[in-house]
Amino acid sequence: MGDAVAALDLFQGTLDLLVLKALSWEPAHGYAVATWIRERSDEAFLVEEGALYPALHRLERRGAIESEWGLSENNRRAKYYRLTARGRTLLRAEASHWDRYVGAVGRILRAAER
Amino acid sequence: MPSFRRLFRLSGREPAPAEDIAAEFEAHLQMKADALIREGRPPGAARREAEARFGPLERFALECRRIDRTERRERRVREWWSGLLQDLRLAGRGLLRSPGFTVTAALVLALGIGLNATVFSVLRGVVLRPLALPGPDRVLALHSSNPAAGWPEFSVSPADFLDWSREIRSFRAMVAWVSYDAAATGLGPAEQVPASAVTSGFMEVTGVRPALGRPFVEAEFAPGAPRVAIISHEAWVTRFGGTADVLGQRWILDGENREIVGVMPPGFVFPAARSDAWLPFQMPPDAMSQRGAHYLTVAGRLADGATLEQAQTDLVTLAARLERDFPRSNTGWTALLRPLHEEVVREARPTLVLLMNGVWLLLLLACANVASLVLVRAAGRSGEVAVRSALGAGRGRLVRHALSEVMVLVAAGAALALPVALLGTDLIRRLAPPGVPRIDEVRLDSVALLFTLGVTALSAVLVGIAPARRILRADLRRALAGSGGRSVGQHRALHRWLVAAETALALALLAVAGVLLKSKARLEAVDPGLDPSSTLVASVSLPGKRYPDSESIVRFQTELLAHAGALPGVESASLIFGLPLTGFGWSGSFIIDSMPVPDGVRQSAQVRVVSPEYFTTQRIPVLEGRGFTSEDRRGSRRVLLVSAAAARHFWPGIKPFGRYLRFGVRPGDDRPEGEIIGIVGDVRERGLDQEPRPIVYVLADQVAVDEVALLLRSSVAPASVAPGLRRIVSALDPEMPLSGVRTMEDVLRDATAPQRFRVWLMGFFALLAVALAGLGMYAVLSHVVSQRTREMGLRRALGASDRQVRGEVVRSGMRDAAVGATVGLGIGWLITRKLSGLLFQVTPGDPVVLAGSAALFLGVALLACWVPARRATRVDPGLVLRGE
Repeated sequence: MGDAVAALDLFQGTLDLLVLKALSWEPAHGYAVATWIRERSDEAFLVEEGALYPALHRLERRGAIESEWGLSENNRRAKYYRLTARGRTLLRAEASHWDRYVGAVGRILRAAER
Repeated sequence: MPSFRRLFRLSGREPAPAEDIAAEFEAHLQMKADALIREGRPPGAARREAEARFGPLERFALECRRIDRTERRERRVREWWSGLLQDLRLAGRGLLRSPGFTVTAALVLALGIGLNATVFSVLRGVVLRPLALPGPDRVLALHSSNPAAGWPEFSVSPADFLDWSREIRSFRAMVAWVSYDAAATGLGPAEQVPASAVTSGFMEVTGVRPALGRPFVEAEFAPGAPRVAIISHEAWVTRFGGTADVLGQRWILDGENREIVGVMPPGFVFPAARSDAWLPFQMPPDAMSQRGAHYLTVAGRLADGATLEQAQTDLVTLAARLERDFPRSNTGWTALLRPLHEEVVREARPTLVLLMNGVWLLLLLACANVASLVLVRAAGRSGEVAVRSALGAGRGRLVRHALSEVMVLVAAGAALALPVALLGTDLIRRLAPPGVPRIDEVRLDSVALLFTLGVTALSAVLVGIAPARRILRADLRRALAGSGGRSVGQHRALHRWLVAAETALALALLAVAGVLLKSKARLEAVDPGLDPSSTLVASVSLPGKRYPDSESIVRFQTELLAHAGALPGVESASLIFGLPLTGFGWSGSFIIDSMPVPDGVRQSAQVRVVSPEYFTTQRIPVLEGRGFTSEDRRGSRRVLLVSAAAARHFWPGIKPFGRYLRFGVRPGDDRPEGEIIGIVGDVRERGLDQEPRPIVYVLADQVAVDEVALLLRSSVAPASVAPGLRRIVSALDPEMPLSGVRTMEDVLRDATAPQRFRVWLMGFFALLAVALAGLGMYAVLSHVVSQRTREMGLRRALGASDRQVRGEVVRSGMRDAAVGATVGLGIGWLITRKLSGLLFQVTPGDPVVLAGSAALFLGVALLACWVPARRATRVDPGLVLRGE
């Protein structure tokens, strides 16, 4: 169980970062965000598209994004999410955190190979 | 358009979270299905595929719902706090705009809260706080007791004490001590210092060891052991410079050169009064035969596991056995014990509980007062409340808005209460009658501050009830329609309640203060039996080392009296052992020669040792027979005077002249008998509120006593005689301290000090209460009149006379005051009923006092009604009729 929780935590944090990134271009509804992530990750992430929604709601709770209902390009009612100023700050912080993290892990792995 | 919604906080328009999430998921599934159809799947398969790719829908929905719920809650809390801050800021600004109201309300609250903090810290410091000893609840005070002889609680004889401490297993240790003033010499001028001679159980009972040096060792309690002393921290600092080399230094106490072996820690007080030196008590060699001489104070520490009940049983059982074994000395004697703490605080408790009741009433009154001020102020703004309500503010928000003003006021009051409490505790420390235990240790400590915080919170609630209720009850639509101006009628009931409550509280306090005042007046009107005017007193105690026998004592005292009597302005000089109203005295037992009394049963009375002039100095009349003269002296026939009470008690209907009393404790060892030569007037020597006891006066020449009070009656101001007296004493013996120099009037005043203390404080509380209640009534009635200006104007235009209009305003106020007054008198009666122990010749429901307080208060109330009523008649009817 411990491993599963750890993996989920990593996934959640990563997913939040990806969602913020997806919304940094323009406001979008959940489906568009899911498509954006899926296309750019060669379908590595987001095997279950529904898992996106808790992440969206969580980010809204943290004040990083806000939502309102609107009409989609195909005239369907959809809930649109938009990055707030706070979300933008969060994205910058999380992204640089991620870079450092990946960099550090990468250095260790390369050092171990040598 | 969520931003618009958020702007106006129209929370009701948001969709229910569950539906919202379902709609969001459904949109996703449809868009996914649309995309799949565009890729060429049949619709049914596309939908299934979309659902499969989405994953477990229910689980995600649940998770989102949980997140949203938390979010909603967090947002509500956040908004509530920021709203509160905003409300408080607004309230603060509003209060600053009406400084008169704000300052009055804050000061009233500061008084209410501050006085509570004051009296509580005194109550705690003096009564509630445990003794400053380890395991304080295990330390008990033990007394001998002879209820039949009128001594329910008495000192213990050395033999009884030795038996008790040896035989009672439920005590780990017992200590007996004698406290007295010792003449300290060798360090600057001679002075008297409080000292206690303690037995070897001292350290074990107190559980405190010297901070410096060592405790006493067993050998130091043996007769003839080297003289040592342990001194207090205070004596160490003030007399020995607080340096460590004090150990081994010498201090001459009562002529005995003592080596200082220890210094107690700071603040050590045992049991309640300060001692500056503790000395080993050396039991007299014949202690075991001294069963009739009761002069030791005794305390003990319970053994581990022993209970108070068990100790009580053991003690009483042993006392009963001693009574059987030693019938001559112990007949009628039993024993009792109680926690030492109880013993220390017993005297002070009723007064402090009374004061606590007083400040509670005052706090309630202050809260009612501020509540009515706040209401009056708020009534002018009911339109504002209605508008806010119409704009969608919920009741909760309206109440919070109304309460924020109260909170700011109470906070300001609490802040101002601290200086009030600091000042108050200082004042009480100074005003307190002599003998209040631990009063010097009273502090505004953390517990008192915590209590103050609680009182403050309570005040906030009490003051807040009225405005909150007003909003919850108000018919806001009506207020809106009338733009607030005429909405006063519905709050009238609340105003009337407040007026009645304030009246009740103020009158209760007034009645209590009145009863105490009358008691004090009665007490001060009592004839003490002596004339205290123009009399200086001082105490002279002869160190036993240099005045070892009766001859040397009598020689010194005779010389002192001769010189003092010759001082310019002095009319009469005398001395007494056991000055009235100082608590000193000596009760002696004797056998009356001609009385057929059963064998072994002795009579006892107060014995006072005086010089012949004493009755002249104190102007105590010789009623029958003759007084002492200079012919009655050492070596001549032993003579006695008895007080009128003694004559009535022992020789009812007979003239006792020529009869004999035989003193002496042990049979066969009787001291020479004395012949009664006269009867003198009674003196209330035990307390002005105590009936005179039988007293037998013996001559100082014939019964030498080394510790006496000197009295000088002068034709000049008594204080001006003091320097001459000091000169005489130091000329006679430079090492003789003269202490307690004051006038006999001071002695009498000290005897009524507790009564005066109570009257001053309760009187102050009562006057404050009356002023507050008057202010409250005035504010409410002024408001009512101003709200009814139009109606009054109309009625005067229609022919009502000024008298009628005025009368109606006054009547409406006085009606409420009268209801409150009735309740207030009842509360006052309930409180004073608990005071009967503190009252003298006054019953709790004293009709004169109750009527007087009611009249005084209603007078103030009338004034508070009259001023607004007059304003009502100054309204110009024409102005009113032409329009508002």
